[in-house]
Amino acid sequence: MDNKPRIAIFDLTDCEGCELQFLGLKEKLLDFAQDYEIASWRLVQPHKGDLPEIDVAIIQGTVITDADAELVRKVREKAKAVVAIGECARTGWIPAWIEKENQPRAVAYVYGDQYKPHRTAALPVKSIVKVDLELPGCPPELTVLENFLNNIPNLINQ
Amino acid sequence: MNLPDYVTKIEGHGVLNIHFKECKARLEITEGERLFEAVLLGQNASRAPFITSRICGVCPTAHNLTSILAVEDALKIKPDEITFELRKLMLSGQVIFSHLLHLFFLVLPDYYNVPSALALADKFPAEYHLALNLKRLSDHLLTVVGGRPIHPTTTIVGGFIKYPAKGNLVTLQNEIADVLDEAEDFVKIFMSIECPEYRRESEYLSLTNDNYDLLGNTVISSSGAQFEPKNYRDEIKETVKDYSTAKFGTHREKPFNVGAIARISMFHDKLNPKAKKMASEFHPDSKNHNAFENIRAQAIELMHFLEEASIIIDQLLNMEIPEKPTPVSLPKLSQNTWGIGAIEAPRGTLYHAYEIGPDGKIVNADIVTPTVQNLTSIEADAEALLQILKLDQKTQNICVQELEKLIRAYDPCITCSVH
Repeated sequence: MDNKPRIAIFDLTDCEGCELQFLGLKEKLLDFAQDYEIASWRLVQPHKGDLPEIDVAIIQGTVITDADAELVRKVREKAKAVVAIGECARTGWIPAWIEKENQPRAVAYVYGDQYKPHRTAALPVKSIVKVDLELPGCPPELTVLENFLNNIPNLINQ
Repeated sequence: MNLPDYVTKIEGHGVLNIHFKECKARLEITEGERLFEAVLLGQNASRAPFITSRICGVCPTAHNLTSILAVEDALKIKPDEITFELRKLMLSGQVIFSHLLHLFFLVLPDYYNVPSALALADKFPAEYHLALNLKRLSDHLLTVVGGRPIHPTTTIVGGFIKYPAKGNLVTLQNEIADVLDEAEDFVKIFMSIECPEYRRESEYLSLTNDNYDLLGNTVISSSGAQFEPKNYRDEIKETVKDYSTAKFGTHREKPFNVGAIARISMFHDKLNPKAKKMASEFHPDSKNHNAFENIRAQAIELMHFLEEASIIIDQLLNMEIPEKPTPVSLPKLSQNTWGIGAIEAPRGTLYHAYEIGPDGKIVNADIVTPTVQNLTSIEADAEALLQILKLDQKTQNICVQELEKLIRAYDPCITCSVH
């Protein structure tokens, strides 16, 4: 168990469609889970306290809040390879259509003038930390995810 | 490195904060604001369904179709019968897709005492096999009709870019027939799980479901009151709270519930035969509301919508489906016009409202999601359950565990609620 490479999946601010695509792999995801330890995946399993060193961290979603940015930095410290999956993590995508200078007006439009947002900006992961691999798509196609999972040994040995 | 103390196995980021002494519970929603309503401003209305689908990866089809209905309402476009049936079929697939994710991957580990659904594979291979077969079916259905399961590609304002081939519908029909028996076993798992006993008076709201097809024209309350979806803003108030990035909904100042539990409670007599039979002794009551019953209600709906999909496919197979849809041209508006779309999404009534200008662009947008409507009730239920747990002198750890299970039973989509 301990010798298995550790994978972790993190979601920033997003629709969660990318991580759901992994469930779309069905039996193939199960086969994959036999060979790896999934060290963290908030959507499907509880926390295990401290996060250990990770071989491959998969990040999806746009960096919108300080908590998102902090998580990305911490994950980078712990992970040998950081993979940004989906358009939100890769480009900031739809949330980034609102430019920073228009943000206060947009927040007031949705929440009113008195509201203090958690949002600071809408950024891709690579604007915060070094990203080793990006997988495009909204969400990435199943074949893209499958090829990626099959290539993880190469990614770890790089 | 410690991760924030999010409630895990729910869609999106929220932290449960319990004040044991005062018996208060707060669900602090910390999901970032993507500001979809502001994103829509200035966009061509015909682009809204593409954009708003991305609010949620769990119920993208629900957002996509509600968005289309809102634009069609403003432009006075009446879709044809094939479009209507195909949309109902997509919605059936959407409910199966979403309920299955919730029931199996998020809820069941709590009751089988395993940390995650991936761990269910080792200990409960038969159940896992059932779940994957149902997943295969819902993914295939949404692919045949919508182009793919997450973020549909075939739907447009006015109808479809592409119709499914009848051969693919026949294949789907056979696949449904193949899983119906094992789906019954799957539903039974959830009908028999033990839920904590507590009761509270609530109110249930749902679109009328004369055919239990998720596309009613009137919102009806368990109190007997009703209103037109276009008047939703007079009925449902959203309140901004300082501890949450999601607004909290109330109906006439009070907490209420939407979703499977509300639909089953009010429309159980409209269920399809197998589902109706399985629900014969299960009638949730808003006056004696227990949120855990939502789990059973979703399981029954899973069966209902498998049957429903099969009925709709039969109807489609009896219709002339042209090879290509006739393109619908979008009329120009002479003045700014509001359009309102409402459907029963997996988690309850979903409203999209857009004001569209003569140039076809969106001038104002408002989206009210089911989870926003449920949030006030989640806290009320959490406090009602906490009182019972305290009377039973449960430890704080047990209380946290049970309250997290309660939140999970709601199937909150925090991602949707913050949009």
